[in-house]
Amino acid sequence: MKDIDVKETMQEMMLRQMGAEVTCFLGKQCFVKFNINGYEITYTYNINLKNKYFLQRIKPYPMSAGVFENLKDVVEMIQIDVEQFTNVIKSGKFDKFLEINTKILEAARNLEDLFLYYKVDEAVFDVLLNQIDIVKKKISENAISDKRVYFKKDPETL
Amino acid sequence: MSFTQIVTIAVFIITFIFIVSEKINRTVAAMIGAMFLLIIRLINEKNAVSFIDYTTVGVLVGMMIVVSIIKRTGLFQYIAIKSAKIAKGEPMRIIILFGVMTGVLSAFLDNVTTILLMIPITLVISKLLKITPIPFIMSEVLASNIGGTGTLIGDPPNIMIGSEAGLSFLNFITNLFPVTFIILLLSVIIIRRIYKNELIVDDKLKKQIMELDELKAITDKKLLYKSLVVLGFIILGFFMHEHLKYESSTVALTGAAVFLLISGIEVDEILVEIEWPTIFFFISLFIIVGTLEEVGIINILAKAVVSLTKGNLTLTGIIILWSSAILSAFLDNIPFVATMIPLIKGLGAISHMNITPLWWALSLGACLGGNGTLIGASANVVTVGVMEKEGYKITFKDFMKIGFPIMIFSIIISTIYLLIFQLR
Repeated sequence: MKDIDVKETMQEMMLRQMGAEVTCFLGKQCFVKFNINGYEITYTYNINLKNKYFLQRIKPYPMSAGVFENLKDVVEMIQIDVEQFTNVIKSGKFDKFLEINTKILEAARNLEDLFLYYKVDEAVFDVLLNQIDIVKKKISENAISDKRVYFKKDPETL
Repeated sequence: MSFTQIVTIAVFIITFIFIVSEKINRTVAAMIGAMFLLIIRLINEKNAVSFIDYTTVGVLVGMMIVVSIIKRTGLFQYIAIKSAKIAKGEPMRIIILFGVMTGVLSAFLDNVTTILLMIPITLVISKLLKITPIPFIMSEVLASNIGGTGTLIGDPPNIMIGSEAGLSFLNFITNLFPVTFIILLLSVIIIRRIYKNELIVDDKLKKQIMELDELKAITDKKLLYKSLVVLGFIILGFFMHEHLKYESSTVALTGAAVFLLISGIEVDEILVEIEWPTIFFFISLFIIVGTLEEVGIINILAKAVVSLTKGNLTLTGIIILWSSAILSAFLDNIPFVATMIPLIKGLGAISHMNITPLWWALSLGACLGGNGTLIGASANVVTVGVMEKEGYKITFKDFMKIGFPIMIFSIIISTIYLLIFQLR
């Protein structure tokens, strides 16, 4: 606890000197792990007295799942997520899905590095946007034509 | 010696061995010792409760709450950054200012708390200066033990001595603060001299310190102003508690209650920051030492000391000072002082000598003795542990090379002070 306090004060001091506003919550960090047919699905969330729960999926690929007002919603969110992953894993197409996801995340990182580290010609923006639109269009089209298999919750983006 | 006395001594020694050897956590060791005395019915629950010194526990808990709230305002970071800027980023001046600041803060706060407030700030400053933080940290940890000696609330042994001997905050200020302040100043100057070659930095790096903004450290101005007002009243309360016929614990706990009220922070969030292991350690120790006194062992020891010193106040005082210092350099000074208090009281009862100077000798020896080795004081152990986690190793030998001579130097000054002003 003492070591944590020292680290917290140090980081806080440096961040404040950089101009940041820092708010620290006293709470607990929880890690939740599932093993579905050999695939590890992991989540992390925090518990504090401020009623703000940050849920994040760590594995099989990282994704923020949002901020929740109560713990019941956190558990519900994890339950739905696990059910959906179980379905995908059972379908036998999970590896392919993972490969696509990994590439998308990699591409996002590449894009960030490109714009943060290089002076990029503006024409490149249009090329990339065009390519992304093609991928998004393909996803949307398939959401209409393919058979829906999960109904407990509606898709958030489609 | 009776069977009861033999069993009590055995429990005391075994507990002490476990505390010193750190084979098991010191709080757990003390709790097991205390509970064993209850289970074998050497004492009953009523006795056990009467042995617990409410004043010590109250001051510790009260001040822990107060500090926990004040530190959230950013006040300590503000003072540290301001000091570093007053020193114009010059490490040779920062080491003095930070050392004195730690010593003075430590006179009013628990040593471990003070050092934990100073370490992160020192690490950031030394990182900006691109020098090792060890000279600053060594100066601060030694200063925290010295500064804590100066007041009733600065170090747990003093809280215990004040409570049991009926000595007030003002008594400590008038009798110990001047001598400890001199020791503090001289020690910090000596430490700076020892490390002078490691405190040289480029002017460009000093500029980085000047660019720090102390106002950015203040997180809650409103709470800061309110805290300063309440803190002012707490300090005033400590100065006047004897006159107003209140225990120092009443001052600390009233201050803590007001702080909890004005801060608006969740009470749970503050109370969780209290060092409960320390509180339970004290409670258990009071039960063990109380039993030693109850079964008459302290009386036997007191008689032995009187026959050894022939009731000579000067000789007794010097023996207490030096033996406390040497023992406290290697042992936890809290159980040591807890045992010495009834012993000194016993000396007073048997020999009818004026034992007040002996309390000052015990306080100076036990508190300053902690600087002798790495294991001599909780602040040393905590500092070395935290620094190791931050990648800076301070070995037993490293610590002793600086700490032991400083401790001897402090005790020599204390001896001179006691001989001139107290043991006449």
